[in-house]
Amino acid sequence: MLDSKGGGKPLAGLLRRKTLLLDLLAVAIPVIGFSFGLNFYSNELLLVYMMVYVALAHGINISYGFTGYLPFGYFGFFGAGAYGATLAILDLHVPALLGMLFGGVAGVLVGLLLLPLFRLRGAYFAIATLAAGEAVADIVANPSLQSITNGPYGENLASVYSSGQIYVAALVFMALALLAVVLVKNSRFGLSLRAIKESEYSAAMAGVNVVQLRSLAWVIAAAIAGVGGAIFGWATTVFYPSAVFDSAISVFAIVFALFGGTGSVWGPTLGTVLLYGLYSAVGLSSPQYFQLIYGLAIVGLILFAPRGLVGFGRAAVRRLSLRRAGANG
Amino acid sequence: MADEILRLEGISKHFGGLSALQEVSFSVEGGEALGLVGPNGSGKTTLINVVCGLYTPNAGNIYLEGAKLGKTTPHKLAKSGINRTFQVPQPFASLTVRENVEIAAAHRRGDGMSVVEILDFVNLGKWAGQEAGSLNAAQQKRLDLGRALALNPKVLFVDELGAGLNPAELAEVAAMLRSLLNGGRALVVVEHLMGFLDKLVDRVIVLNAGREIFHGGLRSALDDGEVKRVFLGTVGA
Amino acid sequence: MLVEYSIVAGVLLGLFYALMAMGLNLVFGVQRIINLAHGDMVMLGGFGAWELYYGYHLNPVVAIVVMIPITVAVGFGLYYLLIPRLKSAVDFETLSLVLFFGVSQVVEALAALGFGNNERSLPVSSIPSHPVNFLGQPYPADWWVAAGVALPLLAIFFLYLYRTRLGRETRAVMADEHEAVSVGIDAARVSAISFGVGLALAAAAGVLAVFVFGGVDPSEGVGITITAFAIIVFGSLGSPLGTVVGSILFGVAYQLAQVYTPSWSNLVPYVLVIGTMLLRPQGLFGRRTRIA
Ligand SMILES: Nc1ncnc2c1ncn2[C@@H]1O[C@H](COP(=O)(O)OP(=O)(O)OP(=O)(O)O)[C@@H](O)[C@H]1O
Ligand SMILES: [Mg+2]
Repeated sequence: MLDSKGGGKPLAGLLRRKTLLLDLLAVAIPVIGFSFGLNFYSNELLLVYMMVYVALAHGINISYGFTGYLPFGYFGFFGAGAYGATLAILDLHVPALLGMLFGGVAGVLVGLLLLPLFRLRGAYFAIATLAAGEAVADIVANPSLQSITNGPYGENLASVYSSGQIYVAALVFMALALLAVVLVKNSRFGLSLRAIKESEYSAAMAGVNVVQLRSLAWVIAAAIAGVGGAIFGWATTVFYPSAVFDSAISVFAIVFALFGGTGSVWGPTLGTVLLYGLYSAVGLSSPQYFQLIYGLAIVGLILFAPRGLVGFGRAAVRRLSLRRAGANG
Repeated sequence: MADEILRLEGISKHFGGLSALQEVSFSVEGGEALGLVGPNGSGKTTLINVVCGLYTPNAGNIYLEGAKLGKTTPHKLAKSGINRTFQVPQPFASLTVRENVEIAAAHRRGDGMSVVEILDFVNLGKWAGQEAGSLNAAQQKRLDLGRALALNPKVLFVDELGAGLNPAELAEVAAMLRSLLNGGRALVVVEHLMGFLDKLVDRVIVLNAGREIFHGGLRSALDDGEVKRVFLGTVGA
Repeated sequence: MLVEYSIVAGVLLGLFYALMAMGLNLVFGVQRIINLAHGDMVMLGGFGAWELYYGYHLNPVVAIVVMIPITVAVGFGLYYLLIPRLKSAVDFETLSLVLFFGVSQVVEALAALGFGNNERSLPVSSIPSHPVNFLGQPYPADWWVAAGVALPLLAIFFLYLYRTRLGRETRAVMADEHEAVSVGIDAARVSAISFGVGLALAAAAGVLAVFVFGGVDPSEGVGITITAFAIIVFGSLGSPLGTVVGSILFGVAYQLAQVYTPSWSNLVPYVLVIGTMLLRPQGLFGRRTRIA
């Protein structure tokens, strides 16, 4: 038996350093992979979308995986980001790259507006954000606002299109989102978020400022969605409100994150690459078959592996090592 | 005379039509352990929940070291020195035992026991690296206690820490709690087990249906007619 | 004039909305599950009516009667397929939401594969089609038909819930599942049947929706689910009467918005659900369910 005073501390420190190293690999490997992505796969737009979705899945990771609040209306931030960036670029004439930050700001603004929804819990929170996302969409697409948002007729960013810049922007954005998750996961902030998720009031009695930390996590998630929407809009060039305010965006991100496994750095990335890969292989030519496979995957996931691929893998490893320990002793 | 740490004045709490607390008043001093007893549903846990900010009282005031507590949040109360354990323990199940205590220790103002010292104190050192959810109920209650202690509270409410323990464990817990009184800390101990309280507290408040029906020494409480009637023989337990 | 019109139209459509939302509330009340596939069940009802009309020349109102036993049976089976496994999950509430989202995707995909992606409508000749005057103003005949069919169906549902043994057991499970089990009620069976009944209500509303919405298409589910959810939250979760009253008020509010500010009228359900949750989380009929 390990003495808690003697052996505990250094061992824990070592373990922590090891997980941090593994987590940083989970940032480096996808970033390196996507840097050379065009060598393996020639559809640049799909790779950009995939990077955006990796980041979005990690936004869900921060919001749901660490705090337990599932934002079904995540697409509201995403669409707001696309429009925020577009308006900044077309009306304020900021450079496109800078416009992406405006997208993040738009996402954060919508996120701040929705903060009162945290009075709700669980499924109610999820649905209320869904309604809020639809409401934001309806407002942006409203014909009465045509002079500002061009109403239902969408936007056109062809004047600032630049495939190289877009690819690099998406890559940097994904890297930052992954780094944010690593920071959250390995910090006291992340620990406190997990405590809040387990028991909000106990966390408060442990001195954690629940409202502040939860809002901070929410704002990070909103910023990721905002920038994601901005890059998505830039890459898509011509888009209608229904393309950026699409509840399928939330659901993709949620399912990618859950499929891979939330609370980890690898999970949502793996989930996105696999499922979005499947989508690009099957979904584009026959979307209904993809929707079917995808729906069945969700059902199977929730019923048989609610902790996702990573959770599944961990359980398998644990079982294996238990068996080995059993054989040895 | 020791300093007053916490004072309640006329605290009332209703849930819909139910009066869970009616004009409850008392105070505790530094270094003192106060017993809070009463039959099931008499409002003991509700009282803790009110003082520790989970519920807002419908009436009454609370003073910490003479300063009135206005409308505040649980985490501020925790930082300013009021803390508690839970009748049904609520550890952060997926965090390790050590992390459970570390989270609280990170928010401590001033100094106090280190995380390792706390884990040793509540006898959980051996389990430090284990997930809190895998502990048994008695261990989880001690973890609750450790987590509360990590904030070095001036007044600590303990909600039925002794329930379900055997006599040897009870004696150990009583000793543990008594040692917490050093350094001017105040304790409010909710407990059904009179033998346990007898070793620990000087004074008790007896609640029934949200009302204080007795206030004084434990021995004289046991002789009080109304207290006897309310407990209907559970006193002997 | 316009106000009168909106009120009458709101009441007529409100009865239809009540039928559309009731199943969602029943399933929520019994199992604390928000069935995100509810709108897709409504959509399937519409396609069912279409197939029965063109395949067997069945009048849509008769189609409802045919579909009820089938949908109850399907719901019963679906319950046992999905729910018992889920019950053991840690975050049951949120995961059930995602699960039923998956179901909704499957249903939507199958509908699109089976029926095609286009909107389909039924000929107006399948039901009476002359606008009906009331208090001097004309209202489309299909609104009268929708209200005229929804009202007796709702009445039957209330009789079932309040006058039959199964209904009594259902309400017992709604009030407290553990208590219900402890007095010998088979909660799983009751829940499964309720799930079927909820599905049947949705499908019946779906048949009427083909007329009220002017057609049926595979992707209409999400919008219907949100509207139905807005209504049941507004009227109080778990309260069938609240759903009826909430539906009628929603119908009137929506009609008023349509008349006075048509381009913003689609916001009504969203404002309603968010506003209710934040300002009066227990809804109109205020039995407090813990949501905040
Ligand atoms: N959140 C709440 N909502 C409604 N009623 C409540 C709530 N919390 C407590 N009550 C009611 O208040 C009364 C007092 O409950 P409380 O838990 O404080 O009793 P207690 O003295 O701690 O009992 P026990 O010895 O069983 O722990 C009970 O009738 C209880 O049902
Ligand atoms: Mg109690």
